[in-house]
Amino acid sequence: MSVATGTRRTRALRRAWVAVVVVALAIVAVGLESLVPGPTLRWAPFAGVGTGEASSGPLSVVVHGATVADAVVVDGERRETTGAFVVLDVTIASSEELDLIDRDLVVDGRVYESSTKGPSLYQESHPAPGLPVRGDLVFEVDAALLAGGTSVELHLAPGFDAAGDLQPQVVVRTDVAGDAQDVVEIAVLSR
Amino acid sequence: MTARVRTGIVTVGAAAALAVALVATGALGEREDARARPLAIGEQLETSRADIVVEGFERTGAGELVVTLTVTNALPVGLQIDDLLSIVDDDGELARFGQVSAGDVSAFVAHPGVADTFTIVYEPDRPAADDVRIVLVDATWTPRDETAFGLGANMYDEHAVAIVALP
Repeated sequence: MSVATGTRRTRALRRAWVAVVVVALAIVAVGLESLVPGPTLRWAPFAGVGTGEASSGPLSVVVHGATVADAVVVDGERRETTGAFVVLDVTIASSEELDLIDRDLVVDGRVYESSTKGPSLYQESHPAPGLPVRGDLVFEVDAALLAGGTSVELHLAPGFDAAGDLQPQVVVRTDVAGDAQDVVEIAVLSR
Repeated sequence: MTARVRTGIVTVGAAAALAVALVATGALGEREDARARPLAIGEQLETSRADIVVEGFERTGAGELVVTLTVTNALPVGLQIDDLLSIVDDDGELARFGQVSAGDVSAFVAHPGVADTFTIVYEPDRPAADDVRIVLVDATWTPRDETAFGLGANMYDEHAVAIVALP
């Protein structure tokens, strides 16, 4: 083997190692990026997930029951939907003062914000240390997704992250029956 | 082959590549806004985000413009009603945001798969000029907000798809 051939082979080997190191670093970077939690998760690195109840950081959430209804009554006023109302009876507790708790219901991959046909946010109390709140969360859902009963997820977060997305602090799974009641009277979240 | 011939070949090749790029990217095509079609009151419009029926469009004595529309959201997330339309006249945009309600309650969002009828009351900042109309828009939705600091709305490539004239 000539000196020139040996030098070329050494260079090629060095380039190959550089490529391997670059690819390995890129994989590590992507992996780390996917693991880093968003700003919303400042109290806990990962969402607390549970069935019926869950907690993470200062938040604890219990879902006592889920009801499907064709209509709801809020402040004596009957409100209708072309879909179905999912009413969750919940208790929310927090070890810190929270100004706002965002809530979503995820059904078969679809994300439902709480319905404005439920109680207004200003009517609701927020939990304080030692003072949990209990009441109903109201969601308006595509009725076809509930046919025969299904499992849903309640996502709660203290706020939105820097990208404007709701990153759940607590995820509570619960089962919802397929049969709908005619009407349900809503209890406003209160201490 | 002389230098002049080579220069000519390169120039023609570059021009051809530019033309191909313009055609392939649609840069020479019709503007999206030009595809907006007239839509009648009560006629259904299907967009990538929602099925929309404008049920009513009227002007009140106080100068307010009232739009009633039924929306069936096709996205897997809530769809802001204000994102679906704006009011324009011959002087340009007349109103973009109004007071949105469904029944007797404020409602800003169409929920996935749930048809609902919304009423929007616009109070324009200026008197309306001629040819007042609703411009219904569509946009490409992405699961994540790609803009900085969450100022976007997970939508891009917004374009007009239909126009409803004030009766």
